[in-house]
Amino acid sequence: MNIKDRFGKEFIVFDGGFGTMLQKYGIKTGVQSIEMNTIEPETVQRIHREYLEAGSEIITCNTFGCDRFHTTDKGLDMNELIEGAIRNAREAIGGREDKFCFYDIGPCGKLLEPLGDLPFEDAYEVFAEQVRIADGKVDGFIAETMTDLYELKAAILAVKENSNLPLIASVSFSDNGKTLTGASPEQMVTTLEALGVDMLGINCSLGPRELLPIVKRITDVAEKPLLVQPNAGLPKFDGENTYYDIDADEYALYIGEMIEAGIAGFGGCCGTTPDHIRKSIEESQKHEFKYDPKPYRTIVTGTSTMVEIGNRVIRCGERLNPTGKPKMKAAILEGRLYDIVDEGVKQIEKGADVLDVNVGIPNIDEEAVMVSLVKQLQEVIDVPLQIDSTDPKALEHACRIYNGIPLINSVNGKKEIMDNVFPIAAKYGGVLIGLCIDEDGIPPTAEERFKIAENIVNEAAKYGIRKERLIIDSLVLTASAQQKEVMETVKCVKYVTDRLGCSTCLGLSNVSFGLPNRPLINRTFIVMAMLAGLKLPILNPFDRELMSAIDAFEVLNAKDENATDYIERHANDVTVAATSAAADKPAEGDAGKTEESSGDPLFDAIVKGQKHKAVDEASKLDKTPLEIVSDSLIPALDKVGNDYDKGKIFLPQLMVSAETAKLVFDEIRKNIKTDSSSTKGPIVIATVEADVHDIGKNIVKVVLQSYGFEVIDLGKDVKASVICDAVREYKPIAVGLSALMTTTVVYMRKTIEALKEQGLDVPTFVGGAVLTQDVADQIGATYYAKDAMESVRICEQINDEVTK
Amino acid sequence: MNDGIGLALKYLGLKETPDEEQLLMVGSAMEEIKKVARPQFLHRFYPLHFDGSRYYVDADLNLDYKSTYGLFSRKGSDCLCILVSTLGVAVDKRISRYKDTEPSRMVLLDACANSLIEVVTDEYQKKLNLKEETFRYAPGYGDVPLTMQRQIFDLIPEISKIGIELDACNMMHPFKSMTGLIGFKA
Repeated sequence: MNIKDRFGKEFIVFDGGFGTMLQKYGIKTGVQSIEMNTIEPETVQRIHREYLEAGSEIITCNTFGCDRFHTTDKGLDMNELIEGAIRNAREAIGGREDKFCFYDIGPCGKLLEPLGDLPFEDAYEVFAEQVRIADGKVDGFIAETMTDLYELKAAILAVKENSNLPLIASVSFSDNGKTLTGASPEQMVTTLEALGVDMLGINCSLGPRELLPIVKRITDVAEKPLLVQPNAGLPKFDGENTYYDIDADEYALYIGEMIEAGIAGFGGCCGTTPDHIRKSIEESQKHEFKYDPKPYRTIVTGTSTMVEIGNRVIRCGERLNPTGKPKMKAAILEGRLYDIVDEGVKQIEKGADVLDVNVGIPNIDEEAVMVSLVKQLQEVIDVPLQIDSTDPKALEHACRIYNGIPLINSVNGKKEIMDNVFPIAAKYGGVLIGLCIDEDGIPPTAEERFKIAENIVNEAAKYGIRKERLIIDSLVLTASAQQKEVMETVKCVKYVTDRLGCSTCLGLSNVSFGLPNRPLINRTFIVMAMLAGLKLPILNPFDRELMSAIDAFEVLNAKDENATDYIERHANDVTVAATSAAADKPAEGDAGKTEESSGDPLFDAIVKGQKHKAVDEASKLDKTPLEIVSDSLIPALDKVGNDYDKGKIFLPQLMVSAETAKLVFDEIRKNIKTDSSSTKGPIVIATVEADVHDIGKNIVKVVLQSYGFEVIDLGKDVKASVICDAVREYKPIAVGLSALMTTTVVYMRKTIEALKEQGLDVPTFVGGAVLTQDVADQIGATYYAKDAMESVRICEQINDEVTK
Repeated sequence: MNDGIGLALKYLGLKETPDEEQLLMVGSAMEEIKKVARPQFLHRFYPLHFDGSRYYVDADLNLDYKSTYGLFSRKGSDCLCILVSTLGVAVDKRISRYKDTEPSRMVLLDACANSLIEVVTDEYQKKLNLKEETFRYAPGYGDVPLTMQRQIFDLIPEISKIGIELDACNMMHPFKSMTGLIGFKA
């Protein structure tokens, strides 16, 4: 009988802790649990039998941690150990048809990129090779004690792409109610259900008392059934040994409480014994099976944030799209993806809940750029992203490595597109945007567009994509060209919301194309659409009035209870009448302060780090850009640098001034004729190979830029060969290298030697906590820069010599 | 109670008494770090032996260095405490969030995180009530090589349970993690 058929219908009983049992039977120190499969198979079988006799229906093979890092890399034979483990489990089961064994996949022990250094695809392979060996020999797979949903995604894909057997995914939570990488129980539920596991699980780390509230949070929202395997309490350490303090009777009582909370299966983890299982089974017979699936909701996730679509209006930032944005296009072509990340962060600061990500320009490797950008965005941004591409390869690859459950933009009514995109959404669990366009184009009426939407929903169902995972875009045409169709879009939103039960999205900006005062049209349109039911507008978060219109709407339709959000955001709004009244009053408050004033407001603003004021002052000045730089900018930075050297101000203040100066420089640079001789540099900088410290390098970058240098930042962990390539390409006047660890200074020497060997005659300056003048001399660097200010002095000197 | 602000100011290069603005900047950064910090700790004790020329423990951990000799002999330690601590991975993420948009804030947060881990580790250590404890030493100080980290991680596999990994260059992830060696009298 297929065990999967019983999930969610009756209690599934797993086994308990293996490690404690092995200790009881005298496993020697230094021997890993998995080695016992071949060293003492009888002991392993004995433990399995004890659990089976206690009543466990599913035993987990002794394969936890049987990955290549713990086996092959340590000289053990992974194949042999896995097959030995499975053999032992089968022996113990002895052909009984009501007992099953599941392969136990544990975490691989390494953190995935970008927090750690293991690439996602490598993690996938570490799990996949185990699945391939075990497939067909076991009755199912359980991935457990997982503390990182991203690693768990790799394991889930590894199982689903290499086997058809049932899959349980079990997560381990810390006592703060989150996983190690910051995910909540609700986020776990969304992620695992979207990825299509057969049963959810939580195990380890905590005892049943601590797990109970987490269990409740899960059963409050989960559609799939839940398996719990707590530890026998919290570990106590007496200086030599670890022991667990909850006995079988107390444990069973807690299991009873969890049954009342709606769990569908139980077992035990560290410290539990066959007795714990026995007593838990007895307890379960006093309770009814209370698993109660909850409604599935439309939710997308980022690294540690989840966003539900269908309740509040969700603002999707549209600005990461090169169409009509020459700056972004240039950034893509020049490989400056971090500038794009910057724009993403700013959109979130302005209130975007999710971000659309599009890199579609001709003649680039869209797949590579999209994947790279998504990775960089997820390094610093934790909100969900919308992967936006017409290239199925780019879409697929980005969704695969995406950390979480993404929005996918898009599918439409054309058969070819559906055939390409539905499988991607099905496999990676994403929420898919469907456009009301088919082979005949965009239909003029709402009814016809609605038919396409219905068709998309029906076809999606054939791929196992339920309608909660679809969001319909009824397409926005321009009011200036197709005025009558504006209302058709709005009507279609209403039809989809009321009759189809899907959420809707719209890309607003199109509607006002060609009309004056576009923001006014946009924000009026969005209110009309929201009234019809729009939940996911794709908009410009920098349009404050548009964002405010949404705030006001949600007060009026009672979604923003007690107008809490609205009041928080708008309490200090200054209305037009008030501003003109204030402008008539003389400025107070400044007169009484004794401030050091140099008489040059721009100089003062830079020294004080007042970004807006500085840019303002600079734009008002009637001087040439070069005059501004030499009269105000450089003297201000010099004063700041001096104050820092003396210790009167500290590093953040130096940097704020540098950031201010950079903004001023960007502002006045617009007026400098675009001839390359007016920018200084370029300077190539990098943190060397194997070193991931980049704070110091980033400080140097900001300060150099504020002095007008063009800086090419290669990032961190940069190989010597990449630096040589960059020198050949950009022909810099100097190369700056940063290293923070004694162990990586050697890579600095390697880089300098490589540059010399390849005949690249460029001066180098080095810095970092472990560097000194002596070390710099030893490794052959041209200059030693003790801090950012020194880097500037060195680069100025080099620049003077070069431009003579 | 030591809130770590003084230490953070020192890390940020301040040599004079801080003014109000500086205190505000550091104070707000410290608040932000505290919100995302998830301190975790682990400690182990090992009887410390001396054979006349060097200190050693009954484990695969080399303590034969000038600085450790000086450390233990000064206080007559007969027991070693290895104390491992971390602020968690969310702190790393929060600091790097500002890397390209507001490097000045990144620097502030970084200094506060460096200070906070010292402070919370000190507090945890205090609770251990170690008699005649030495200064808390670490791999990388003095003549104790960074490679000792590998030995510590191999010796105490439970370190991975509090979420710390050691990479091939002996760097701990999360970055704001510490391993400390303290000699004391049992």
